[in-house]
Amino acid sequence: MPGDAVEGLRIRDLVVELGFVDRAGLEQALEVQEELHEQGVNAHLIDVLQDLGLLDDDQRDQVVINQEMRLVLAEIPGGRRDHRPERWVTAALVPAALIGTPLGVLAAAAVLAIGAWLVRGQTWRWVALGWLAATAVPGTPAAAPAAAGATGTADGAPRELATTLLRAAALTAALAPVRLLPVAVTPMHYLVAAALALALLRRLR
Amino acid sequence: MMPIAVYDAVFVAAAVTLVSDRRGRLGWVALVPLIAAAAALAPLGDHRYLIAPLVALVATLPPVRAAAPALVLAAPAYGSLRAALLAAALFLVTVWLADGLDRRVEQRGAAPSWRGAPARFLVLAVLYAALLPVGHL
Repeated sequence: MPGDAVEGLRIRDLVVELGFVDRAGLEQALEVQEELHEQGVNAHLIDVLQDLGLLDDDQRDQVVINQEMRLVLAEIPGGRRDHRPERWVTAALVPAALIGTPLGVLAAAAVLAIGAWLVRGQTWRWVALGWLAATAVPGTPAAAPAAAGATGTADGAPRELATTLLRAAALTAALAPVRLLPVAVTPMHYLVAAALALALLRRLR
Repeated sequence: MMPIAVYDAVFVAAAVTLVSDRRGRLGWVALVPLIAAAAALAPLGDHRYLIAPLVALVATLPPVRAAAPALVLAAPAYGSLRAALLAAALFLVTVWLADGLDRRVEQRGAAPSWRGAPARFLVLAVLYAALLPVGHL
């Protein structure tokens, strides 16, 4: 991979470009990182920046999200390494457990699919969606799709946002008939089902 | 549409929290039930339509990674401040217990396909059943 392709994708470039850290701060962090390296400690620059108080939690998230989005857009090999199914299984679990009717769950699935198109990697948009959902439909379960979306996009991993949420929508819709069973389905059942599904997926891989 | 039970919401919120790589503001998330209950009890008269958007706004004010469990905890209809307090305490205790139990599962050499999220979900399912009496308080 040519070196130019990596320019702008490195944490050191991003923190300055996003305006979170100035050149002097970056130099200071790089020096600390170098000293740690000489002592045999392989510290990540982003951790050093945060420990020095040059980067707060939110800024760190934004840097990571930005880097991951750029990795995807640059189509760099290895940039699409986040295939963990936990995120979308949990994203599906939220509306399935929160909404009581099959139609409601299907509606949540549709909102997730539309949301995937609307947010396009912007996690704060899911926050706005949560607010709008609760405003538009009195009764807080309306916020369930937004909570599910936040689950799928949080932790700075919107790398495969659309895929994640579309899978979540499909799984949510698939779970809807479970509500029709003549037994009381509680979150406990969903948790066990989610655990089994994840273990099975790993085994298959 | 039937609102979710407080007890159920606590465990869904805990599940969301436990699959997060970087957890933050657990204290803030635990405050959300109290805010939702306080808003429901507020003498807003004809302006009760403001409750849902205000609670959603407060729930999503923390950093994005805490928005999901906060929104889930904002969902139930809290009948009293006592119920909200109990939900907040149950949420924190559940996350703490699940964390500890999950560590033990890892230490005792769980099969690779069950490590991480599957083990956490199972631990939460067990806790859901074990703590059911608390849900009736």
